[in-house]
Amino acid sequence: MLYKLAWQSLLHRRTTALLTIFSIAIGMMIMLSIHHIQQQTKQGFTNTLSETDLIVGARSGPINLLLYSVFRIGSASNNISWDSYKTIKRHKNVRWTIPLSLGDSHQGYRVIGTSEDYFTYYRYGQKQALAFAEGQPFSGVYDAVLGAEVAKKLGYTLDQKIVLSHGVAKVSFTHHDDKPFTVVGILAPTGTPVDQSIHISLAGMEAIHIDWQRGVPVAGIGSGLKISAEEALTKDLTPKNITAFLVGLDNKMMTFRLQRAINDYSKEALMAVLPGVVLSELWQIMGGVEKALAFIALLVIVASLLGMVTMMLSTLQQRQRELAVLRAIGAPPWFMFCLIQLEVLLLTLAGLIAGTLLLWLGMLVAQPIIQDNYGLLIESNPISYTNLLYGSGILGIALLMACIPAFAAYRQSLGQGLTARA
Amino acid sequence: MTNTLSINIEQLRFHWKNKNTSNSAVLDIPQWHVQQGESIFLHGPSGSGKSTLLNLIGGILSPTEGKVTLLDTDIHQLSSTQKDRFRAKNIGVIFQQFNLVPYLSVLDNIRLGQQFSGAKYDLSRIQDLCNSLNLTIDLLHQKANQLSTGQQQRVAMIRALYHRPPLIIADEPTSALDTDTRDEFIQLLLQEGQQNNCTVLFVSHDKPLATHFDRSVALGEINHAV
Repeated sequence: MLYKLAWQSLLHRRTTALLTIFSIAIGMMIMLSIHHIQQQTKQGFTNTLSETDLIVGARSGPINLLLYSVFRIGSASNNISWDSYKTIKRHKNVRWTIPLSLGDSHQGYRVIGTSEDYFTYYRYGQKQALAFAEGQPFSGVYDAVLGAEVAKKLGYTLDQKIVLSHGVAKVSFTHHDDKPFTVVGILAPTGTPVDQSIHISLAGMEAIHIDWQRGVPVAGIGSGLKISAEEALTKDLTPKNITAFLVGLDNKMMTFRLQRAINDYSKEALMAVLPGVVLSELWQIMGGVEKALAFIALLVIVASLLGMVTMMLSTLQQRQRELAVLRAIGAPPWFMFCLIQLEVLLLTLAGLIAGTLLLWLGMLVAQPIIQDNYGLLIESNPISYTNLLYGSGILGIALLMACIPAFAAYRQSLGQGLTARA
Repeated sequence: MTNTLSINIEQLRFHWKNKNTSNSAVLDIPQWHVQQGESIFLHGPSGSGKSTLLNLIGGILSPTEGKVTLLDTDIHQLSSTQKDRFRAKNIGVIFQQFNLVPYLSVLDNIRLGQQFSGAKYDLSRIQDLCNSLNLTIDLLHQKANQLSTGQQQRVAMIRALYHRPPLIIADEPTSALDTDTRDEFIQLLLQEGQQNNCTVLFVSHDKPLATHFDRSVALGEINHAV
């Protein structure tokens, strides 16, 4: 009966109740989304790279190096020479390397020039290797291997001819249309930026830039300086430089020693970073922002809860007769207390559920956008143990705050005589 | 049952504990009793302490001195929870107006009283009461605030009568009604009260109504407080 009373009472004031629920839902949504997105991106970033001991690139910021080499975010400030790469690759502790040559794109998807070792040694998630959904690794100069999302979004299949564009912007005005590539393989989905990448050989990368200098074609169309696709094959396609490379060691204990050796490399300004260390640096930077956002979300929640409590208190005036009736027919004062608490419980619960649903919907919308831009697959379902914990925390705060109007109702009904003052 | 006392007040004194008002007693009733089954018309001008007396009888207020015995129970010896339970079970209350929880259906309003009183749910009894009070059965599923004042007062009467309480307190229940409905309401109340051997304590300042009742009491006669 108490439940029915609370429910009918809210239904009676459904406009106010709905608005209250909505404001709690928004607070809840903000709070959960901050937590959820942060958690999911962390997981996404962490899952992208596994088993890689060092990332080596030109000397710049460690976070920048990590972002452009692994997450395809931003771009390199400088390249490293092929000689330096070969020297480090031959180091006795190095088990494998994956060279990465960046800078081109296709329809906004980044192109990675690399070696076959990419498909052999690259690991993501829980030490998972890349798998082919169709086809095989590239073998020819003009072969390309697509990430799962690229193939899906652009509707490409094997043997498709694609033209790469210079630069990494979505819209590019210079195309390598004289040297089209053929899709020979499509990778299985990984939920990492690999899905958003197009992989070609370093030789292919060299070939499309063979008649280029300093980022522009040396000759216009039709000029004698242009080198055709077939002609390029006869030239030396050993790259002169690459953007970065990943290193796997025989013995993890040697990581720091090799890192120091690379950082002290005299012939070129190189930098080696440990992906895990850089990631935690990144989290540290994001941690401050995250805390600020979480604090704002908490304030939003508290504000909406305060709004609800105020609403409850002010309706007590209108509900005086109702409380008098209940008192007259024998309801003890704690019954009124429970009634108010139950109404608050129902409102908050509805707000929390609505907020979670809103977030879920929001995530369904945001998921493809995040995946397109950052290559991270974010779970759309926001229900997790921690979020349930947050929810019950908010519920606890709400019930605590509801003591104010509930106690007021208690007091009011205690002092209320057997007469309903009109 | 007719010989037992329904209400027995002895040496009752009451004054508010408020600092702002003087300590002079609002009520000072050396002795007053009502027989079980009697219908009493209690009248007096506004501010004479009628409501205070009802609250003392209903167990909402506690007397400063003296005791109030209802059906052999000294109600102010009870704890507040016991008082609430005693009131739910033994007293039916009808107000001047706004007797019902507006957002509940008529049936739920009646059931609310039934549940607090601890009586069993019996739809046929509700239907019988509806019939005798000239309320159509389909009103039961309407929201209380959709009813006319006269209908609402009769629903309040059903709720007060449902669990056959020994005492019904009606605090100016007819002041919001027009003359025709008022007389009908009093007739029905007394008739139902009689059938259930129920004491009816009817409070009003509308003296002409006194003719309907067994006994008419002016509060000033029993209250010795100035």
